[in-house]
Amino acid sequence: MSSMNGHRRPSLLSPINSLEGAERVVAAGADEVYCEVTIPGLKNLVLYRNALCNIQTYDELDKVVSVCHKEGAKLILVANFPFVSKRFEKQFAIHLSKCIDAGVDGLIVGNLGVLSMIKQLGVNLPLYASTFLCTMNYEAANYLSELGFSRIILERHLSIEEISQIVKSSLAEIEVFIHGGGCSNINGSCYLLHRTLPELLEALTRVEGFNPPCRLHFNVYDGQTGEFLKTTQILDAYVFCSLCRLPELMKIGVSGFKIVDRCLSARYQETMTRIYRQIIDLLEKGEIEAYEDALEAAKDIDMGLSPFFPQTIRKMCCEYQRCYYGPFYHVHRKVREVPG
Amino acid sequence: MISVQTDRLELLHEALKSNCDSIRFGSEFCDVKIPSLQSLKEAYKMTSDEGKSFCYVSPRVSNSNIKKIQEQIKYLAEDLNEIVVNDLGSLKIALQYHSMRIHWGRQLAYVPARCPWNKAPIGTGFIEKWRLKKIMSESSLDLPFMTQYLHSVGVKDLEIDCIVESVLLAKSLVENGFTIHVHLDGVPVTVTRKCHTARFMGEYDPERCSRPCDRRSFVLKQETIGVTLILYGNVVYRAITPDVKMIANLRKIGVTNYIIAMNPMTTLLDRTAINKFIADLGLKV
Repeated sequence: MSSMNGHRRPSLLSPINSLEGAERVVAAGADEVYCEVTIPGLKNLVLYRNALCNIQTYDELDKVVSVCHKEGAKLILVANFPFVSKRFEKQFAIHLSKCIDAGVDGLIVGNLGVLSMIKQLGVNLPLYASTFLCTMNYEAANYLSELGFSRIILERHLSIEEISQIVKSSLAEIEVFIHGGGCSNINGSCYLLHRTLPELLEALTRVEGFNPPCRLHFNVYDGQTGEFLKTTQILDAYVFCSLCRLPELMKIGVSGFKIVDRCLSARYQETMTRIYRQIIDLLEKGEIEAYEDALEAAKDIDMGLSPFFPQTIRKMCCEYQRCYYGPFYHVHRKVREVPG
Repeated sequence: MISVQTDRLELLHEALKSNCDSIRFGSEFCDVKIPSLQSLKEAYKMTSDEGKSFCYVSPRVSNSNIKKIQEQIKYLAEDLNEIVVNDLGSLKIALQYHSMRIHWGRQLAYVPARCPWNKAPIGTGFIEKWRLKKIMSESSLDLPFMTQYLHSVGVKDLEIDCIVESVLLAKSLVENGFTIHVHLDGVPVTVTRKCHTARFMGEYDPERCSRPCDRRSFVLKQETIGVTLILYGNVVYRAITPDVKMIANLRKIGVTNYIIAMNPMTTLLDRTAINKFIADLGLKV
């Protein structure tokens, strides 16, 4: 990590779900690339991401590792199943061994039982504590560090001040989310994410832009009287972007900046990597004016969320004030009150 | 043992006069509602005076409140020795005191059956559907490595929800030497720090939250997917109706600890309501 003008250079982590994605994000400047690999026989075990978000085969993983290593990027395996039970414990262990043999550079782990399993397998790779471990304070970060994690990925629901305090008091590296998928709820305690109901998928397609179930419209009734109050996106505290917060996040010494969404297109993954790479590099060099210009320009770039119509950061994030690490009780400025 | 859980001293008076055996005081889900050390001391004194046992309940804790939990656990270690933890930071602090009896809170366990649409079939073909259905009825507590970990840190008390899937889960956990505590209030489907109730009620600052959840809960209906949920504070619940048969099944496998929550969602707000609930479910043998 280099340090210049008060800004510390963190690793930029980009998501992929294909070899093409790997090639594009590495070329766009990702320091680390992360992906999940479908476990043979468990393709349909959908907990929070479906198999389309994954690398599909170990052969493809081999190629992805090769692309990353050729360009000096690390490949981090997402092994953060929030639970592994007796019924697929062996299958999971075999899967891990195959991915480790492919040459991955680190594992994201989301469960203390799985951590014990990994230790028993004798794995000697850096371990990243997933958001499924819900780290929200420095004591938790230090506990996970004592257990063997070298990097802690913090829960999204923290303020910059809190992140700063954790960075100062933590024995491990600290990673934060910077773009995409900013859950309305605490990741490790959310069970709204099983995307198997056709009715749910249908309802989600009606919501513009990002589509987790917490963004659905609900009819709200008083719990005591039963009186109908309103129809609204009551669970929607969804955030998406942190471009304007990067200077602060860099100053406090965060080690990893993570772009989210393995499920989206390689175009999105590449575009966002390129934007954040440029901004981080400008901040690192202390070129504040150039940063401000780049920031404004970035807001009007199509993020690549849809192949059919452009969706810019200004339209999808700024107008709705969907900013990471903003006020907790913030009510989004533009929320439609009734379903379209 | 029947425990009544509350985070408010006003409700504690009623809980203490009910037929419950013990009190669980504190906030399970919201770190804004972590009681002051003074309130904790007062709750403990009131409970001791009534001759009931006492357990402190702590939520997932933000960095802003971790010092508060440190103080409280230090106090607990001096005299009391029982705490429910829902946060790995709180766990780390509690583990420093060897006498502490630690309950593994339900937020520390991942239970896919909490999903509101958990009954929807997944997979293709009979065998895969059957297998995935079985997997989805298990939890992070089912893994032998997890059991080993919990034993290694001395955790013997585990908290679970009162759902059908819990009966099988509880059986294996009891066989592995754990004491099980069953929550009878509802199934937590999702939890936030960006409190949905507070935002809906127009609160702007967590530090100055007027705690609208002390007075209200909300029913949320999503017509397209046909789901009804309950919003209470920063938690969205799936409603459950524990019945005598399920309690009898749990009792048969050795589960004897049940938790009744006092709040606007459960509408159990006085001793009469609590006693009726206990009697209706046959909780007191």
